[in-house]
Amino acid sequence: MQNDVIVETHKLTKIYRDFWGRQKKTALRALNIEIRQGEVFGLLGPNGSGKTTTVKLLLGLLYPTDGEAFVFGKPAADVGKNERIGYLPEESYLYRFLDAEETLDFYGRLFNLPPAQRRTKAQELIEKVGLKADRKRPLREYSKGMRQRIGLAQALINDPDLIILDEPTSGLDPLGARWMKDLIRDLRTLGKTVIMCSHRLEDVQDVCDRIAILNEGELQAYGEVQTLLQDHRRIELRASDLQLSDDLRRDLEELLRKHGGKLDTIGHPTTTLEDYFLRIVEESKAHPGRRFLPGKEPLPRVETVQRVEGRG
Amino acid sequence: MFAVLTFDRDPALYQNVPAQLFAWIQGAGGWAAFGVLVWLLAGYTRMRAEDRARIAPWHKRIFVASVAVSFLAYLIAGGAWLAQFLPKVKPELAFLAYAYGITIGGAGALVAAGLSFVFGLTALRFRRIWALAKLSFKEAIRNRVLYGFSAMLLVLLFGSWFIPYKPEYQVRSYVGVVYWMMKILLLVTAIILAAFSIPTDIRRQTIHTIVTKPVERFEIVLGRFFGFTALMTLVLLLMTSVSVVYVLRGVDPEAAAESLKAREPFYGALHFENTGDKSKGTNVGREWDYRSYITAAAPNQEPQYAVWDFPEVPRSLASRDSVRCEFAFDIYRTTKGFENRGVSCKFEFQTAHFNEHDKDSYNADRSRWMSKGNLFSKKDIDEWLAGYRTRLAPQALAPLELNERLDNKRLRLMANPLEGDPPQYRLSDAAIENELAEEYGYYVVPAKDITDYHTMYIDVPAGLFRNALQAPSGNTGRPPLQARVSVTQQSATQYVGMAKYDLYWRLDDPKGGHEIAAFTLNFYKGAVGLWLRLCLVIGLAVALSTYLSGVISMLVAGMLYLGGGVIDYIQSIAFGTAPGGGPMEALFRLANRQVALVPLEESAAATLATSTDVVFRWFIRRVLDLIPDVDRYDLTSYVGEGFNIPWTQLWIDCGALSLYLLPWFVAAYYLLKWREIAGPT
Ligand SMILES: Nc1ncnc2c1ncn2[C@@H]1O[C@H](COP(=O)(O)OP(=O)(O)OP(=O)(O)O)[C@@H](O)[C@H]1O
Ligand SMILES: [Mg+2]
Repeated sequence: MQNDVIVETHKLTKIYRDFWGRQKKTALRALNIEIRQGEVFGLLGPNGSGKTTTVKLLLGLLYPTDGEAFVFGKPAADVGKNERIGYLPEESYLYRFLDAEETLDFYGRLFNLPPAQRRTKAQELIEKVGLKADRKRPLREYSKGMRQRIGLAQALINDPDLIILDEPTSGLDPLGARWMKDLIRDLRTLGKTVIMCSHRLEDVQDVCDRIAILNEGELQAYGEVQTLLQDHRRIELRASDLQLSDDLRRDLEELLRKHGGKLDTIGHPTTTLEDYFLRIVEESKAHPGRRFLPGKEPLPRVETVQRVEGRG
Repeated sequence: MFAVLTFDRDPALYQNVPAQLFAWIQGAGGWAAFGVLVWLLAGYTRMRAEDRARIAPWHKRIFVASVAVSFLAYLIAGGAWLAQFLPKVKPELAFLAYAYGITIGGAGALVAAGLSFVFGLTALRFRRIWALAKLSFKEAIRNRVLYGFSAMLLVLLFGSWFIPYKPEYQVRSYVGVVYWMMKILLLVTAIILAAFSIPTDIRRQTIHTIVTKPVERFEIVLGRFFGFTALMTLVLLLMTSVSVVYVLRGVDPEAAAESLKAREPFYGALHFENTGDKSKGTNVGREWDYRSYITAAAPNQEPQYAVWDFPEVPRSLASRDSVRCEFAFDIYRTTKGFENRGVSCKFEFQTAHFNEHDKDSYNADRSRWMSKGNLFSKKDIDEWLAGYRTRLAPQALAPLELNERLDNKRLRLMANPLEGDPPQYRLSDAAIENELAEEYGYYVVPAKDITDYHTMYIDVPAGLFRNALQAPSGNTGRPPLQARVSVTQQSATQYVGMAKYDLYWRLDDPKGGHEIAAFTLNFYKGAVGLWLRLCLVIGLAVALSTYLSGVISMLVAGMLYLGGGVIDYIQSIAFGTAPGGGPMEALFRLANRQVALVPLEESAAATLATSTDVVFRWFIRRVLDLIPDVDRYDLTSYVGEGFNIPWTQLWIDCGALSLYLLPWFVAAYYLLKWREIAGPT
């Protein structure tokens, strides 16, 4: 990972005012962050904490009340920086009367791409986001998830170096969310920088290298996910091919006491619902026509814990 | 009322362009100065130091210099304005200083305000504007906006039931109705589309994905403008084509004779003689003072003349056989019983070479040669040539030139010899008239019955034009060609009213036979007038909507447009030509029960009232600069009356529209640039 700073903010502050210039809401207070080349950066926080505001300030959709933001070394209001940026808004607000191909062609033109390049790029992206079958339908007929996909495609039309995603997984089913997360990881392997806002913590934990946590417009925590989350007081141990018994428990307690520690819990690990859901969907694809009838069949059980880890 | 074009204003001419340009610099410059002032007070002071530091130094220098020039010039203008009240200062001098002051001040302010704009234009890219234009186009079509235009069908299907019908007015009525319908449908659609497009983009946040691309915000304005203009242009083209077919099918022959053509008039300047006032005839008490009236001379009085001077004569006319002079006058009757009979007028056409004393000899020659039964002997021709030679004597031509003229005339007179002995030569009546007109520089129609409501004509022998184009014989101080109209004694009690544009030469050939083609082309030219108004409302509404909401933009644009329709009235208040002065003076008069036309008594209160009006008028004048002069683009009457729309008119109108829209676009540029797209709305 290189350490070139791509985005930096100095005391970035945003106060929303009403028509008469009266202060209504301090959405962001003196934010200082740096985002580096090639990382996936997460902006976390509860609803209304100022994540979207930060992103809009970086994009020049809002002008700071105080402080400054620089993207690629240029002030955020500079139009030129947009050449290298891809933006997926919180909700994908696109023109509903265009179909997927027209949408991508339109945004391609805004990047001044020549026609041939626009066409190949559009086909490639439509395939990538899985809308090939629906590419001729107007966007007004799209479901929320489909709109999110075409929104992502338009954000990638210029092969951007910095991708800003506001709530990329909102509205997506777990399958879609997983796909989105995989895609973000792919972007990172290609050396792109990604900024994503989210309040879905598991998403952030899965893909982000570094995060900033905002609350009420103030920065609460900022740093590498790994270091932030590591619990140095505890140690986790996993073992397989064992029967859970009181004997085992006693032996372990004794062993741990000898090292000056203490056993907190012992038991079967549960998987996440996400993993479970994904497996169910996988299986239903493998056995088309099968369905769950209450009483007839026991719920499929989790037998082996299989975690899909992105980071080794 | 009259089958003749009446002009509310003079047709656009290139020689008036510089004056209009100066007026524009003063008007737009005033607003630019206001904008710069507001920015300096409210914008610059609130700008953060780091943003100020980012302004390029050359940019800063030009800005400061032009603001300083502008400020000084306005200071001088203000001083000059005050100086006009000082007793010692010559008012012309003060006025000159004032005019220069506000022009230079305006120009400086325009430079200061336009600097960033012009610089910003270099960043625009055609492909992006085109993409945005195409988007607007598609949006309108896919939202089924065009269905509204099917209302036009109603007019086409059932129009003839409602259109007032009088055979000779058929073309005019139909033209009026189809243009009116097109105007309403297109303008309303255009204004709604344009006013709501950007605000909707902002409200639906679709604009977020656009401005986060490398799109200059002004490209959005231009894209919208061009997109809607293109759409409306196509619709207009289609509607015009359908309309022209509608108007052309089954035209009444009378109507065709009146207006199914595209006359190219050649106008002169009108003055009156023996009416007491060169610029006016008699006032017969008609409310509308567009026309002035003449009547037959009372015994032992000089006859009254309406005289059209043609300071130049188009060379192309001289090569024809005859040139048509068309006219349509108003008749004001003081005696009953003549309603259906025309008024008899005498028409005299004369060149600068014509000698007043030759009238008798012209008449004698004319009756003599006309009585020959179109057959001339050698002797007749010799006599004619001898007479011509004596008439040329005062001109003291060089012998070579004199002989050439005589030889040419002989050739023409002897062009059609007949077999036989002694030889005879045939000369048609028209040829005789032509020869006489060329010889004397004179042609007369002693009595022509004029009827109201009709365009009438006299085919004048083109010999007159050949005479007019001959080298001038010394400086007579007379224009090369004059048309003089007087009322004959037969119609002693009648008045005939005329205006400058009531009499003209036809530059096109009325016998050429391309009337329908010319009319059709002219119909499309008339549509250009509507097209310009479409551009106007689209530009205005789009520019306004960069700052205002959709509804408000629509209302403001609509009001400015409608204000353009009554601009003359607003102008009359602003420039103090309305009787009773401005509103304060009117109020003062009302309070003191004074009649509007009596000058106010000198009193402190009266002075206050009139000087408050000065401020009021100044203010109104500034507002006037914002109002588009929409009537100038209304070319319907040209088409309806069968007059060719000069290309000059179209070009100048295009220019005027561009100048009107430019400041709005500059304002839109800044407003959208400074606007927080995602900010509170
Ligand atoms: N246009 C606006 N006008 C006024 N206040 C606004 C505006 N946009 C956002 N705010 C306020 O600013 C604060 C931060 O909003 P922001 O949209 O940045 O939150 P967020 O972290 O993105 O929340 P969420 O998770 O719900 O998307 C909120 O209190 C919100 O009410
Ligand atoms: Mg948000």
